[in-house]
Amino acid sequence: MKFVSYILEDEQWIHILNTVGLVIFIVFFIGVLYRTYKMPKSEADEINHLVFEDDDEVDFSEESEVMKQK
Amino acid sequence: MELQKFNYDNKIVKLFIHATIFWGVVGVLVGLVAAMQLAWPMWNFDTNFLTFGRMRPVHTNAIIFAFVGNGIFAGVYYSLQKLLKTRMYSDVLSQINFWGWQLIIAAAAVTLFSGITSSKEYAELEWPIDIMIAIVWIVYGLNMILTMIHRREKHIYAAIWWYVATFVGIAVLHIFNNLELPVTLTKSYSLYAGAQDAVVQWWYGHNAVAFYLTTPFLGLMYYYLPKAAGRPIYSYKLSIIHFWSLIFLYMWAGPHHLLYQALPDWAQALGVTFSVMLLAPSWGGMINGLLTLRGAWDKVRDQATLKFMVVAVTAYGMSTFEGPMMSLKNVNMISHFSDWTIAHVHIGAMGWNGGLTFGMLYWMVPKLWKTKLFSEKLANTHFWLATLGMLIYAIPLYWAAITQWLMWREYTPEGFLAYPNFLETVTQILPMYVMRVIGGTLFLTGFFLMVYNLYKTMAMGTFTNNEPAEAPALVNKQSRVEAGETQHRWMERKPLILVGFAFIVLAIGGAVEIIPMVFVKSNIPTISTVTPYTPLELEGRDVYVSEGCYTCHSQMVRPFRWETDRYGEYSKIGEFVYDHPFQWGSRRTGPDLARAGVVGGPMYKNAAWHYNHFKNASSVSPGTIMPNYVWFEKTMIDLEVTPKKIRAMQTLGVPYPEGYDLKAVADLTAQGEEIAAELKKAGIDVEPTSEVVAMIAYLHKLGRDISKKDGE
Repeated sequence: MKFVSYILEDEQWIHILNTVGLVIFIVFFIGVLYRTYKMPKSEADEINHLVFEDDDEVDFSEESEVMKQK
Repeated sequence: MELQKFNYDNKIVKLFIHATIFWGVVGVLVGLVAAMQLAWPMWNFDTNFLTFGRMRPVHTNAIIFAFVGNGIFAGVYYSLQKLLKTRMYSDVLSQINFWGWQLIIAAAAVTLFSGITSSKEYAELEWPIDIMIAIVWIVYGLNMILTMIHRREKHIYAAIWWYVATFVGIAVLHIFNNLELPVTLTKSYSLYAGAQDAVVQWWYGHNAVAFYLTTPFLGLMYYYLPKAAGRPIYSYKLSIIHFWSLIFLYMWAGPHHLLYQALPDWAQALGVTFSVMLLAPSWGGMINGLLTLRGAWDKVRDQATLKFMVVAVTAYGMSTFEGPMMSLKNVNMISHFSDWTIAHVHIGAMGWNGGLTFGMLYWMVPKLWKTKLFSEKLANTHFWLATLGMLIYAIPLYWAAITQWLMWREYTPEGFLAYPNFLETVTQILPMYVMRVIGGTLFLTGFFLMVYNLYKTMAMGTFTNNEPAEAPALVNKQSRVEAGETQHRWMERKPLILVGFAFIVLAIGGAVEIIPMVFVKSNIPTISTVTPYTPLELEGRDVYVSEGCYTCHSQMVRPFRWETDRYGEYSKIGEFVYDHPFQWGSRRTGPDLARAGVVGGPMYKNAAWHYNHFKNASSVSPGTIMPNYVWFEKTMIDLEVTPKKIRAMQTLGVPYPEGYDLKAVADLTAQGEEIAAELKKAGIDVEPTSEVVAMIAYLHKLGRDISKKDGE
């Protein structure tokens, strides 16, 4: 821990912090962008429609199986 | 494939809907009273429980944690179950989440009205409530993650990534910002001091906006907007890119709340850089939201639900454009400490959070109660009242901000401040404060219409606590990446990896921002003349914190000519090394107090002036909107706690001599007697251990140390 404190106490590295941050972000961003770009459109469309999958009407009548089970 | 039958837990959603509506009305009502207090100070009622300094945190906490918080839980509990095709993992955890959260809100209201506060904006609650929040939040997150693990849907839809980021982000922020040393059950001191405390607080403050008011609502948008519009989200690919970019970038941007203040340049530059970059992922979300409505704009015309959502997404876009602009130093110079920030956050809160919550409720209530909305016309009226209310609230405040800033910096041809009396710059903008009350009233009126409309809708329909459903069992979650499958899609099937990766992405920004502030000693240069607070000054500081003085007064002179001429020497980082917590403030409804103790300086007032000002502010400042603190002279300091406070400060590294806690009360009384004697000369009789004496001692400490020469 003392070693870490010793390293961190040197203020020189602070001045390149913004640049380091930008570089980390750009590398990360390019990675995400590449992966996303490679994704087939059909796959994206399939996931996009997940939100509508619960729209299937369930039979709530007294005679229905689900209500009997309940 | 085996078709499994199960029930959705609608009851928990219903409970959170009721709580959202109830606390929403309370939060807006308290906000309206606070707005009236600023326009007409008689609304403070000269009562300690109801002064603006206490009312304002009650309003912000009620809106953020009670109204918005319950709205988030309602939206998440409904959509999570539907998207994962399963009931919440544990009903018990869901119930603990609901009742625990309501208990926290009630405790928050009682303590904040009682002046029990840590004074850190949007994190004012004292340590026992902080612990309760952490426990309930973990219960919520655990229930969510276990539900994700026991799901019947292979993939985890975009909305849920945002819910996960919210859980992880808030957990990290809440824990690190609320690290404090308890003194009593109702009092603690922040572990951090001065600039370090400021960096941690605004890392939290900024990211509370990000991970409590933005990411969960983007999740809700990704579910409820397509549902209401009947169209899938515009671009799934864009949702991936803007999700990861947004949660990565947000964590770095906190220091933009501290520009031109006593903070190292590198931290300010870091905040500005990443704030400007935030525009891109933020607008990615807005574009994705608005383009989802392509081909469905005819529905917007007919449905209040969609109207609210459109305004919400637009307000989000406007706020996230404005935010990066306000982070530019030349714009921040104007916007900071002025009403600009207040207008900005209300566009976000009323438009984005309010709009999306209203839209969601108008969609969800008829769905859950299996009926139609009682009145689309009333909902439309609510929409127009809310939208107009928001504009009538915000536009005058932008006007007020520019007006006041121009007055602050106006000079006569002879080179003197044109408006040296700060009060002149306040009375000038009072008409705008009246307009704000009108805007708030319209917003609240619309809210009441919604309450009536929704409860009539509920009365018309029938509610099923356990909604039956069926879905195929998820047999194989496939732990390996399938042929041709992207890493992201694989991750969408692995909840724990998604949570872990989100944590890493979030932690990078926080660590980069905070670790250097803690470790690099040159960031906090010390000033030899700066000494710890005397026991009486410390007690006065605690009264200052308790009364929420920071809600109107800053203690931070920025290095501008018009500020140094008005207040005195600009603030330096080493002045604040004993400030647990820092009191820099974020809005100047009253003047800055950082130099209130510099004898001969422009801000210095003698003890008698302060006494009269507290007792009847307008007697010494005609036209002021400051509340009267008539109870200060009647309320005595609890001397039994003083030694504990000294010991706590020693634990935090404040260099009081060893054993000083035993002498603290005697020193306090001696200093109090000196001030009481000074007041006696002006014909004022007060107890040396009264709060008013402590406050005078504290105010006379501010800036005094740095005005001394070394060795004085």
